[in-house]
Parts: sequence; C-alpha cells; structure tokens
Amino acid sequence: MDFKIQTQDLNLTYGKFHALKDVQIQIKPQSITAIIGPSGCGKSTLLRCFNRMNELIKGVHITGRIHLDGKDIHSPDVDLTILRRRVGMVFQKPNPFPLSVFDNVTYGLRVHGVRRRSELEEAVESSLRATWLWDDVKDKLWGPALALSAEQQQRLCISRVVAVRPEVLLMDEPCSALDPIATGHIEDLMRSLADRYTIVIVTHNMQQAARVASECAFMLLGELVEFGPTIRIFENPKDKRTEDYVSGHYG
Amino acid sequence: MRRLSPRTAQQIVVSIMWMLAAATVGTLVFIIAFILFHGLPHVTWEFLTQSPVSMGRKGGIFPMIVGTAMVSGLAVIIAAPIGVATAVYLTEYTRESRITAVIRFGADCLAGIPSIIFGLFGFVFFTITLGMGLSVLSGALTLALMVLPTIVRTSEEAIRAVPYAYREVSYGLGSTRWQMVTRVVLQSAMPGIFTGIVLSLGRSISETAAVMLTAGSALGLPSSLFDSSRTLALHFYILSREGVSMSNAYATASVLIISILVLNVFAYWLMHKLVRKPR
Ligand SMILES: Nc1ncnc2c1ncn2[C@@H]1O[C@H](COP(=O)(O)OP(=O)(O)OP(=O)(O)O)[C@@H](O)[C@H]1O
Ligand SMILES: [Mg+2]
Repeated sequence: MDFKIQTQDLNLTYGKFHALKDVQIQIKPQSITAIIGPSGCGKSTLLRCFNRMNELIKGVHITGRIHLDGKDIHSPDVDLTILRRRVGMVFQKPNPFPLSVFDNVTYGLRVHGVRRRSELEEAVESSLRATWLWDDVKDKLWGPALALSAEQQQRLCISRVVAVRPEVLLMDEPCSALDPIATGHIEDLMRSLADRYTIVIVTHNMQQAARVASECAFMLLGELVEFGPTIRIFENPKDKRTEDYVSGHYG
Repeated sequence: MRRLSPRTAQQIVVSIMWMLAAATVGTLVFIIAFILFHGLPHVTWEFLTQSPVSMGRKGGIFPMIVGTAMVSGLAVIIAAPIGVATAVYLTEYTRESRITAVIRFGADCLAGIPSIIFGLFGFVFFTITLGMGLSVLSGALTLALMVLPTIVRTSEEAIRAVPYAYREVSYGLGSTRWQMVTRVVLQSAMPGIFTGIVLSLGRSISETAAVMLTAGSALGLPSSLFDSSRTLALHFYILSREGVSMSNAYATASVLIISILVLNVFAYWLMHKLVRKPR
C-alpha cells in the first residue's frame, strides 16, 4: 500500500534538546491518524514536521526523511508554499484573522494568486459547506469573523484550510478550546472529511482518539512507542508503556 | 486612631483621582478656551484667505496655512514609509541582534533630542551643505528626521502586538513572508501605525524651533518646495514675541489648535473606516 506520509529515522533537536528520536510513522491516505501521549512528548513537533513549520523556529535541526506521496519534502526542488498548500494545518486555538468571514476563507486562495471573484465565491461556499458552517454564516459573510462563537471560529479555521484544497489536514488539539458538544460536532466533521483528506490529529483526549481515528500513534519523550490500528492500541497494546498510558497510569 | 473603613478609603482614593484627572483635563480645556476666546473673534474669512500686511499686524495668514500644510505634509510623506519600512524590517526580517539593538537605541536617542538640535542640524546640512537654502524642502526633511523615531517605535509596537498565531496561520496556508507582512501584519497593525503617523503630523505642525532654522520665516506664499515659508506655529511665535499683534497671534493660535483637533478627529474617523471594512 502507498502511504500518504512516511518518515524514516526522523530526528529533531531544539538546540541541544532532542525532541524527536528516530521516529518512523506511516500515515494512510483518506483516513484519520491520531497522535497521543503525555504533554511535552513531541506530538506537536512531529505534526509540524509534516508541513515544515518547525523551520520558523530558531535553532531547530532535523535529520532523517519525510516522504509525502513518496517524495522527500526536504528535497531542494520542493516549493515550500506548495507543500504548505498541500499539507494544511489547524491550530489548537481558533485563530481567525481579524477580517471578514469571506476574507478569512479566501486568504489562502488569494495568497496563491486566485483573483476571479466567481472562483473565490464558489470556494467560500463549498469550503463553508464542507465544514457545515454555510447555513450559519451565509448572511454574515462580510461580518467580522471574530464575532462568531468559538466552535464556529474553529470550523471557519478548518474551512480556511480546506479552501486551498489540501491533501492532508494536520490538526493540533483542535477541540481543546471547545466545550464537549462543540467537540462532538468537530469530531463528526472530521469523520466526514476523512473520505477526501488524510487527517492527522494530535489529541490529549484518548476517548477522542478512540472515537475518530482508525490508526493511533503513542509517543513518549520524543519516541514513537507504538503505532497501529486504534482498536489494537487501546485493547491490546504490545508495549508496557502504552498499556500504562491508555489505562490511565500516566498524566 | 480608628482605621478608615475600606469603603471610606475607597471613596477617598476615588475622589482624589477624580480631582487629579479633572485638574488635568480642566487645565487643558482652560488653555484652549482662553486662546479661542481671545483668538476666534479675529478669525474671519479674510484672515484665512489673505496674505499678511505689515509683518502680520494686519491682513491674514493664508501663506502660513499653505506653508504649514506643505512642510508638515511633506515631512510625514517622507518619514512614514521609511519609518514603517524600518519597523517591518526590525520586527519581521531580522532576528534580534546587535544591529537591531543599535538601530532601536539610535531611534530612542533621536526621539529624546530637543527639536532645536534638529533645526541646527537641518540648517547646517540641508540648508547650507546641500544648498537647499531656507526652504519648504529643508524644513520638511528636518521635520521628517525629527518624527522618524516616533513612527519607527510606534509602528514597531503595533507590529509586535499582532499575535504570532496569525503569522503561523499565514505561513501554514503557504504565504510568503512578504504576503504575510502586507496582508496580515500590516493590516492588523494599521490602527497603531496610523496613530503614530497622526501624532507625528501633529508634532510637525506645532514645531517652531526646527522650522525657523530651516524653512525660514518668509511671509510670502511659497510657490515651490525651494521657497522659504513661515509656518503657523512660527508665525504665532513671531507675532507674540515681537509684540506685533496679540490679537492676530491669538487668532493664529486658534487656527492651529482647531486644525490639530480637526486632524485628529478626521484621522480617527478614517481609521475606523479602514478597520471596519477589511478587504
Ligand atoms: N521552540 C522550542 N524550543 C525549545 N524546545 C521546544 C520548543 N518547542 C517545544 N519544545 C520542547 O520540545 C518538547 C516537545 O514539545 P511539543 O510541543 O512537541 O510537545 P507536545 O507533545 O505537543 O506537548 P503538549 O501536549 O503540551 O502540546 C517539549 O519538551 C518542549 O519543551
Ligand atoms: Mg502540543
């Protein structure tokens, strides 16, 4: 089977701190993969490797390989802006720009040079429909995005990424700022998006991982301890450390 | 002695602060009212549209209005792009280093220098060395140098206040740094940057010492950037110091005060429009 994302001996250091240690992970296309593990184990760091966001941070050093559709994302002929268009990211806190809803959704397209009004309008409608936000905001497309509720803002942030037609969606604890009901809605949304996108989600919430992800990775202190089908990770972990974690013996 | 109840203490503190605030505002209102009271009766249409006669004893202040607009307007037109660009460079295009520290320190030092020193420098450098003479251009360049640090520092603060998350999102969607700066950072920082620019315009309009030495004090209507021109503030200074005409001095001051007020109101209105309709 062809994996969407595949890493080989991935190591990352922040200065002297070794944050990722020999990580090997294979992410299947059109599925949801969850990354779980205690705070500070390197989940976000791993996620941010996939769209090369760690490069914004001073003192980061990466070795090893990351393949997207079999092609090394660090190879010199990779255009970073195109890579980030293909691998979109949703952050922990809903963070729409202080612009209108419309301008938020079209930001990415405009950055990539789309100017045609009709094309932008079409993208706004289809992206907002994809995140089930269209009916809520279709009358306030020119209103400020920051006036929306937290859940709507997070869905807007997902629409904003979806608008540039990515192939992969990276989500770093996308529900941690939301209440349980909103969280449920976002989880439903993720499942509905999974037949078009490869989704990688970082979460602290093991039930969430169990609910949405078909594959699950457990990390500890920068190491990928165990990786496999979610059901097996939760019901039949091979590693003692995974077992302790999923049975609630770690923080 | 019985201790004050927290409630009484609270009331006392609040009334003291209220009085201090009232004193500040009151003084300001008094000064403005005093000048307008003495000056407004003399501000007529003729006063605004005619040239001064016999050194300003009679006639109007039209050339000074034009001169002020030219000198201050040009100063800000020169200083704003340079200042904002410097701020963008310092915040977005370099990492903190010795060079940025030196630039910032330099800007802070410049901001603390008395305007007469800028005037002296402008006189020696623009007026004499570069041969621009006492002119609108010399004055504008001198004022531009004077307000540059303010624009750099206020823009920098405004840019720094833009959440880091916006930058991450922009990069995450595949934008270049330049797109991120122009579409996200400058957009969000615009109100702060704008405030700095308006402040600088106000300072240029009310400056006397620096323009006296560089733009000169000619009474005529400047017809080009190379003409000498007297600004309103300087005209007021000369009228009152040399006792030419106190009523005309007050009238000039009234015009100055009102234009600065109008400018501020207009600026805030414009800023609201810019921010409300994000494009
Ligand atoms: N910019 C940075 N500079 C230095 N060290 C960092 C940096 N970012 C993260 N780290 C360190 O790397 C380790 C992994 O961080 P990371 O954010 O990936 O953890 P995480 O698993 O996402 O944690 P959390 O669940 O709290 O979000 C942590 O120990 C953290 O202190
Ligand atoms: Mg994290």
